[in-house]
Amino acid sequence: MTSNQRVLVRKVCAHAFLIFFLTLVLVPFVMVISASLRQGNFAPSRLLPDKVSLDHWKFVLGIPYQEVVNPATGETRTIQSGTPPLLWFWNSIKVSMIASAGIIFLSSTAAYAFARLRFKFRSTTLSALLILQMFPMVLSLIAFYVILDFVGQYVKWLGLNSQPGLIMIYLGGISNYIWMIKGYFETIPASMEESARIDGASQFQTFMRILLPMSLPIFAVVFILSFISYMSEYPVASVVLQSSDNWTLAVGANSFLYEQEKLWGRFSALAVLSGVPITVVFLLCQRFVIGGLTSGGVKE
Amino acid sequence: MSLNRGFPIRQILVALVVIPALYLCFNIYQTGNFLIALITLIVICLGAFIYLSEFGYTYRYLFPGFLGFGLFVIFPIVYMVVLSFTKYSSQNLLYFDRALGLLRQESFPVGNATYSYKLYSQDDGTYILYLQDEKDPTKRFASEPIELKAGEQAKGEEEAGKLRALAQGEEVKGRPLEVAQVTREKLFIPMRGRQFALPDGMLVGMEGLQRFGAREPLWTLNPDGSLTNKDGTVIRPDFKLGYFVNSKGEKVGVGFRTFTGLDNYIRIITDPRIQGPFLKIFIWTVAFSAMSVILSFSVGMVLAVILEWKDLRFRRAYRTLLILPYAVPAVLSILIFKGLFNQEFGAVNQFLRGIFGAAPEWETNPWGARGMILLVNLWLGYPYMMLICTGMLQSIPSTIYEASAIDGSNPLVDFFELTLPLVLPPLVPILISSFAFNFNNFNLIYLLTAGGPKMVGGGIAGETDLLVNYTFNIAFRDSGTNYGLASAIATVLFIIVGFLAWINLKLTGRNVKI
Amino acid sequence: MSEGSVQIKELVKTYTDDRGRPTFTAVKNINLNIEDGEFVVLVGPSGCGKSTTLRMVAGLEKITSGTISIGDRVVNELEPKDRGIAMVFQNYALYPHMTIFNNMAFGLQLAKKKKEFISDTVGRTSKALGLDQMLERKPHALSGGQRQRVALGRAIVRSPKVFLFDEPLSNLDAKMRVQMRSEISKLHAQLGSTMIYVTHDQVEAMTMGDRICVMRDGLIMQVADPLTLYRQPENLFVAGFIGSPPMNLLKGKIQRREGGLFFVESAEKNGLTIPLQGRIESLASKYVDKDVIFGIRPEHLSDEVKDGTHAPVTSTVEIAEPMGSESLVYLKAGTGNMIARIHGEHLFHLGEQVTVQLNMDKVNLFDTATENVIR
Repeated sequence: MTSNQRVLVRKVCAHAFLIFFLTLVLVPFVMVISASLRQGNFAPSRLLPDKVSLDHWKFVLGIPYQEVVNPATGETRTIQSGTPPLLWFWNSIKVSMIASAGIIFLSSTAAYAFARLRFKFRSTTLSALLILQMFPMVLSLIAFYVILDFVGQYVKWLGLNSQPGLIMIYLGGISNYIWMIKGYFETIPASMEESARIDGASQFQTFMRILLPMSLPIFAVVFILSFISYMSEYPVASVVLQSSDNWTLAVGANSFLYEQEKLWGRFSALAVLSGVPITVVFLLCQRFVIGGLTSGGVKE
Repeated sequence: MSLNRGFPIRQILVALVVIPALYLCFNIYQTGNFLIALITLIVICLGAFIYLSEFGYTYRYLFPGFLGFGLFVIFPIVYMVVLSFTKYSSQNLLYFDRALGLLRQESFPVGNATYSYKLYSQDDGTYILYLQDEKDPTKRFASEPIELKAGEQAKGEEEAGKLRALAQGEEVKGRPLEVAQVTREKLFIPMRGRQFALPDGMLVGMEGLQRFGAREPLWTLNPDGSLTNKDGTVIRPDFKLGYFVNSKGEKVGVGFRTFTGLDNYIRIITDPRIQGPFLKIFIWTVAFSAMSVILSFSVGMVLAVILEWKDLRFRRAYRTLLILPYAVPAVLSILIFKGLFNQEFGAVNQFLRGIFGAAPEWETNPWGARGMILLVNLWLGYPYMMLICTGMLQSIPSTIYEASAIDGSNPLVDFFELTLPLVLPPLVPILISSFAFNFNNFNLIYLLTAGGPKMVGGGIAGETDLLVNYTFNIAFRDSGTNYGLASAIATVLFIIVGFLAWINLKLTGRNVKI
Repeated sequence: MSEGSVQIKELVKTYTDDRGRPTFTAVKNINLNIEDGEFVVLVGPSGCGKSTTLRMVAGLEKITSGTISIGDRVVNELEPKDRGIAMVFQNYALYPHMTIFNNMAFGLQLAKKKKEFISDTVGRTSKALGLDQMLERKPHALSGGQRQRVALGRAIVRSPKVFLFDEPLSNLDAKMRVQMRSEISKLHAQLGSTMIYVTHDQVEAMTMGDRICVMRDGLIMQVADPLTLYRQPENLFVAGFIGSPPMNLLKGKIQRREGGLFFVESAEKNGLTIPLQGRIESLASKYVDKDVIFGIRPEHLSDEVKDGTHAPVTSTVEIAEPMGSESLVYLKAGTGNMIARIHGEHLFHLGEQVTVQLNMDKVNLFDTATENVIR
């Protein structure tokens, strides 16, 4: 075999492997789309729906539709969702957006102090932040419940079964992001800020006008990462949010799959409708995220 | 920094936050939560000091973050650790004072004095209770204005309301409600749980819907803390058990929370009903985390290496499609897989049956379930590893491969002798934190298998439960909710993961200056 | 005292860790007076405290003890912006998200100067620096030399009494560096402001400074004008640091033999013996039988006898680097090595035996114990 032939064989193998792997990865997506368009509530199992119907999509969007009750007589009834499930998607977007913005505010200011200011027990505090954050959020649920129940007695809109309450809890998870942003701040030469100081900027002006504008890329990364993680957060949201018009996507989607009756069709329609926009946004921001992932954890 | 330059924006902002906060603090104080009000006050003062004085400048950047972190990360941990030293479960739910209060409110009807009643609704939404002795209509009494929430059961902890005697001809203010109205508006529900004291100390409570009757407490409190029943039985609190017990050692009344020291921890080690599943679950948790990291790293690495091959066509398209599982919210993907792996109707088994005529039991066989979990987690986890590895690979100078090609190397040797040794050491912290993440991967198990299938003889434990799911089940699921025990396990769990994080920190410390 | 003078008195800088414990003393009690309009270069190896000193003058580092005065004011507690200084950083520290105009105008905007004044000042300065065509660009669109000019311009618009430079040329390529060197010198001539310039490059120091302050380990080794520094180093460190190739330094003892004084190299065998005559003899007489270091610059070794007192030394050529106008010849003499800078007319061959003449009038002797020059 000449070396050209050898390279060719390798290329064919590589393509074959990648295509095979991609099939495994992508088939679930195709099946979900098919399940959402299939009449009846079947678990995703076909690449193409046998009987196409838009009923599930209508249900998710809150549009009324006719369902055949008795196939023999052709009797039908009108079905419309009480809370349009797409509202859950909107709730999730709202909660995750606000929480992520809050996270950026809290973690960028703290990261600035850790990266640039001197104070007692700075490095100890930093390590403690990372270790304490390891405590799984699920196991804090009892305490979250106690806190929100207490707060709710005085400030109703911040208590149990309120989205602001949920956002408030989410704002506690800042330590990973503090580390990430701090790492980025440290790659910015201190002389930028010193130069601004000589130019007569106060410390706060330096922070706002020099450091923050220079750190936009890392803020994009933090925003996307925290947004994705809160979009997927289930246990805390399921405990805090009780009424169905407050639910987030994760809680709502799971509610379709009771032990007794699994409404796969409706679930699939909701998954497609809400999954697609998020995926598209993520892919558009891919470049940022990849850069952030590699720079945040490890410093070369 | 800014010395009174014009408008005092900072001072106004501080005032805008501090004033409502102080109002909240005052409210908390008024409802009797003295300690919490004090802590709130201290935090408010600290905040005001930090933002107003030059001295606290550095902390202006830290205060908001630390406040959130303290409330939602540190407080829950401390709360958990404290709970882990107590007996606190669905049986031992109330504080001691409330359990005692409930006993002391137990009463029995005495004599045959009965009273008809009327509720007078007041303009401010409160009510006044009016009683009239059915035998001697001149004996009339009225209460202070009381709050009643329609349909809401009284907690049974209120002091008995005072009743005062009404003079001849004195009328109660407000609009009287008929009994039928009281029934219709469900005001009787909060009324029923309440007791009132006549001027002579006699207690009265509702009997049926129509009237009030005289009652007497069942238990009298003795100076040594024990309680004596009307029939002479004596019960005393057993703080080890969390119950009141009588002389025969039988439990009486409701249980209460109590401090039991290391009991919960000792139970983890010694109680076979806990210890057995705990060990099994611990081993599975470690195995699951390790396997997940190894599998997703291997696949991610291989893909990253292939995609770094400059001569390969469609590299960008492949990469974008391969990242997809990372882009879709994990909750959705996990639930989708739950459907695909459905034992009877799921796509996976339909496909396998079509080819091999048989299919694994993903739901009922523990090994099948574990295999499924690992497969799904591989699907979820490899894109992250692929992204990280790609970043690492791109930082390796291509000249070393050129040099090795001159030395007569081939791709396999390149991979094992050059790429892996170069890439692995800086990845160790990421691998460890990925291990720690999977160690606590609650969502995956909870949504995919809910721990199932059930562990034989394991009580609440499931074969695929991770420690964190097991703890969650003990704390929240079914009748067996045992917060104390769950907290103890959570504390152990935290120590394990915290230790991992600490090691990770030491390892990273070599690369990253803290 | 005039506005632009800088006085440093008993200045100390000790760094501390998070908990306030002292970790490292970078500057150990230095004194330096800089006249109004003077160009002073702080030079030394990395870690010698030169940058720390400059940053304390700028107000970027807190002073541990001692005082710094600019003009008549003690500035220890003043904010950098109130000290009448401007600084040019090694990496230029241009704000990447601002245009060149805004980079230069930032300080004036913060000082709430009038709009017309700002655009006028920035316009004039940028024109003088040849930057007026690129005011709307961002820093990343500029070449290294242009960025350097922007950094200079940003300093100039503040019209400071004192300019501070922290290794401003070290990020430029060799050709650009030479060009910017002369531009900064020209700027100094035009503005007449005081300039303090930190560098680790002794060539930069020698070519630019009115006076040079050599530092090591947080201490000032010598302050002098370039020629004095070169000809009359006060200690071994300055002798070795200034000059390229460096001064030849031989360890040995002074011995009295056959009526004359000799420098005898310490060696097992084949140590050099050099007769000490003329000026040097009286200096050496105080150090008979004591350890000294014998120093002579490469250009004072020659292959032909010239005027003055000379001592012949027989040596072997190890490496010869002909550079045209002159040759650098690495010689093995006795046990040690010496470098000679010799006129380029003669080509030396490896292993060739050469008798070089040491110009004894130019020799410096150093006390081995104190490392100070013997006078």
